[in-house]
Amino acid sequence: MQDKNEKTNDPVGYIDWLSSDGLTGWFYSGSDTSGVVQLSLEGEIVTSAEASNPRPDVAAEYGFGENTGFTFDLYALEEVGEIGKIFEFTIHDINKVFNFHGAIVRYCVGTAKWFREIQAIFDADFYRSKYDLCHFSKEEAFKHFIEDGMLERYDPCPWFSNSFYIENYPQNLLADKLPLIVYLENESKLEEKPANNFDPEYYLRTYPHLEGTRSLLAHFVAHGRFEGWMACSGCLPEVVRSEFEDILHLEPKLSSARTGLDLVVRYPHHNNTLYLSRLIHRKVGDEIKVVLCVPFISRGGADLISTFLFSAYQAKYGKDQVLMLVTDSSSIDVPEWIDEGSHVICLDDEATFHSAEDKLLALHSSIGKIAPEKIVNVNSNLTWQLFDRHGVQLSSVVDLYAFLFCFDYNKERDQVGYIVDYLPKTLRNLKKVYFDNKKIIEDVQNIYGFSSELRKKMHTVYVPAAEGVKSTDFTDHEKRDTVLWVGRLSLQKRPDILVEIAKILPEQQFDVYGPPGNSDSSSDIVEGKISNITYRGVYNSLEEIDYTKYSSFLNTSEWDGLPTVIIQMMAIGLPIVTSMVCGIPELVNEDNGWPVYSFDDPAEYAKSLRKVNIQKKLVLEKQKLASSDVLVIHSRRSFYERLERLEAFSDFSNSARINAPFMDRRRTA
Amino acid sequence: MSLGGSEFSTVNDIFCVINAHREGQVICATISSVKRAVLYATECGLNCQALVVLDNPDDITREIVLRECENFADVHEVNFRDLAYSRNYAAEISTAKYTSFVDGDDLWGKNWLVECYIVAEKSDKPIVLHPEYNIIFNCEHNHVFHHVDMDDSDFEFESLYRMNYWTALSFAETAIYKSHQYRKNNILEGFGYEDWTWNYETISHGITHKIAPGTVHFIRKGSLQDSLLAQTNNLNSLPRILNMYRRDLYITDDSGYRIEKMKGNQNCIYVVEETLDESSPEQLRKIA
Repeated sequence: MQDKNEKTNDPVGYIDWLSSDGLTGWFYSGSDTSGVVQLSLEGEIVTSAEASNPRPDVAAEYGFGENTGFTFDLYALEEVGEIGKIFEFTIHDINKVFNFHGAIVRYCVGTAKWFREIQAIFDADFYRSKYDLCHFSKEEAFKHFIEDGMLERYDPCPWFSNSFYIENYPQNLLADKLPLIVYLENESKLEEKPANNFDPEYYLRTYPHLEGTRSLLAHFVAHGRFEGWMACSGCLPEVVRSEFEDILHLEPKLSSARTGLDLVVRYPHHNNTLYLSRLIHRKVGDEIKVVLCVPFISRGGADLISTFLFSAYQAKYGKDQVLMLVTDSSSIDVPEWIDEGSHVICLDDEATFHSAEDKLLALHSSIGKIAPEKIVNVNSNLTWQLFDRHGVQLSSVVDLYAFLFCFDYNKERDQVGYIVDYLPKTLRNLKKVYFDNKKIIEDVQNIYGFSSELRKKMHTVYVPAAEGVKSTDFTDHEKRDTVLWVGRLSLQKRPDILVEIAKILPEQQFDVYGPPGNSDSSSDIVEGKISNITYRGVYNSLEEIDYTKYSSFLNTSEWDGLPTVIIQMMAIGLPIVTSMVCGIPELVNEDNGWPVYSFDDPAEYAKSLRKVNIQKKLVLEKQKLASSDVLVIHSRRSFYERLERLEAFSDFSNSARINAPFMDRRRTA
Repeated sequence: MSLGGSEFSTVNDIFCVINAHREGQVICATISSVKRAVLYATECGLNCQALVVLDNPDDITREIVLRECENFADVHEVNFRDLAYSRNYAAEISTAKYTSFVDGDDLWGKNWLVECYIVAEKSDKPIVLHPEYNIIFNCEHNHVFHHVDMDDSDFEFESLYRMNYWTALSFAETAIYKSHQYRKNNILEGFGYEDWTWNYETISHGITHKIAPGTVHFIRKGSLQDSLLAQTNNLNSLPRILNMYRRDLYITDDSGYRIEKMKGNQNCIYVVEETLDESSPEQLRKIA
């Protein structure tokens, strides 16, 4: 392929791929005049195409003209020979100056005719798994199949077997014809099966409304299997029925089985997630020591902390030995929080799950094959379910860890969330549970009691402030006139209190960053309905925010752990006006901030904000102490050291387990 | 066909093992089905020998077995309280070329032994054979399993991580059962499905699981064995087949026993279990 940005007057070009539109590529003749390219078979020109289609991608990449694209109509190739036969075409420009570096296009006659059915029959997960193409996306896998795999007799799905077809219908495949195309051509006769697990005659007989469908196999793979439709007859053979009748005299109770003789079940049931664990295992190999499970990577504090933990494990073991599994959605909103070259896999990117149970099984199989030494759960609901169901078995071979923050509350203010749902019943199987504040441990132990042995598993790990954020110079205090509020606009963060404060202080400007949430005030703020509150959207990085105009940071949480955003804002140097719920008093006090002890009293917040505006000298004094406190308690170094002391990196505690080959002692003894 | 009380001195073609526990009267049908299959195999020219391994039986089961197996099968009473050990024990003492198992509440089809023998003799690779069909009976939702053969185009190894393809009622060269022993279930620690684990392990060692065409087993639901399976399912037990659960097998596996003494009593031999002392290397060798 042409080197990027290479200036040339020589003709250049590239063949992209075979698609339903035809054989596509681009060709630049060396001048601004559009070129013509030709497809030839054994020296005879079969078809021509003008290279004049818009190709802005080529123009952007190489600086050639905008219109260099061409498409050969595949139907022109259909006339060169019999259906199912493979031909090799060459391609060159009309002047025969450029031959696309001698490229040969292999094409099976009938591909164009059956292209859409081939697409429907193709099962990317099966294909990637069977042929060890795990690094391909689904689209790349299909491209590989249509250009190479199909011609090499690779199977597209579990219901088309080249070897089965070749063995059973050799008479159809004279002249080395391609089984898949020949089968599609013959399927309507209902005389052939594509594999032992699909019978088109039975399928049509069972579902007669499919009469006229171009391909029954394509229908089954694309639709029928997901509806639970039967692919082939489940009738018992006569010899087995006869045996059933004969043996009844030995056990009369057997007669009860007669009603079920026509209900024949055959495994395996292929589904899209069957291959997931193999694909993931092959992607990451056998060296993974730590699997860190997260629900997603959004912009929340827990998400940030999960990336801190990820970095800590990477620092200890190296990037190759640590895997982040994103379990609940494929959302990674802040990729810059994760180093390049890290192992990160989103389950939802790898497969389509048809049920929560299916996903849980896939997670278990995937981790089970990777066989890490540690599983660390930071708010992954799926992983909590796994700990709940198989914690006994998992903990016998792997160290299980969890990171927790606080109770959650629903609208009725009932305690809900992972602590309530999972901690009491899984704690015995966990090696350690880390919390980002002390208060929550006291609360948990007060509620659940727990034996001293279980209590020893719970520890506080203060999380670090993000690196690279510069502290702001507050000597220009008098120029600052805006209060900063950051967080999801959720019940937990109480933006409704912010709205009340804004009403009390109509001259005060407030800026809000954060995604919309489930608070009733969320839409009013986002839509700018409160005159002195400006919604700024979400930020990708704290560095994006211009702190020079902010006079203070306001936090109105009703419940929380120890919010990372307060840690960050203290590190930046903004005066902190905050509710004192849950773990916040462990960082904020009268000496380094402006605590508000009645979290739901807007007047208290308003008074503190006024104090910040007035007490300039005190602001500087508190700011100095705040910076110092953050540096001591919330540094990256103290975070790592604390994890080290709390056995986050220690070897597996079951002394019986060692990394040994999978062998049977007794056979070798 | 060897009869009760034999010393297993003759080389037989097939060793037919009934694993019994406390099945009570339903074992009668099992024994009858084995007799029927053995008779058919004998008529076809095969030498068969039968054994009932009674593991911690109740009085009724013992009485029925001793009566029904007189002049037909040897009966060994053991106290393993574990199906895996019972199977291993039978395989250890088998001198036949092939061994086949049936649980004390299930039934073999008549042609099971003959069809398996023919397929096995033709095979040029190590194989384990399973029936083509399992007819499930004595339950609300009677149905039939059509078993997959590993050489079938729709066989998918990955599926074995999700489900067990075949039961333990199999047929194979005795050497395979001797060299790939069943692992003891440890339900309370979350591990069970000794047959599932065995299927996985044998496949991992290059042994192909196939079906014997035209054969059928009849699997009784609501039985003792079925209760064990239900208990296993209820406890979210797992087979030891994922890499993670196999790393420590050879350290933590405590399976192993030896015969302390044998006492002849008509056609019944009593076997007393003794778990191996791991500190004593010479005891790693089993005593048959």
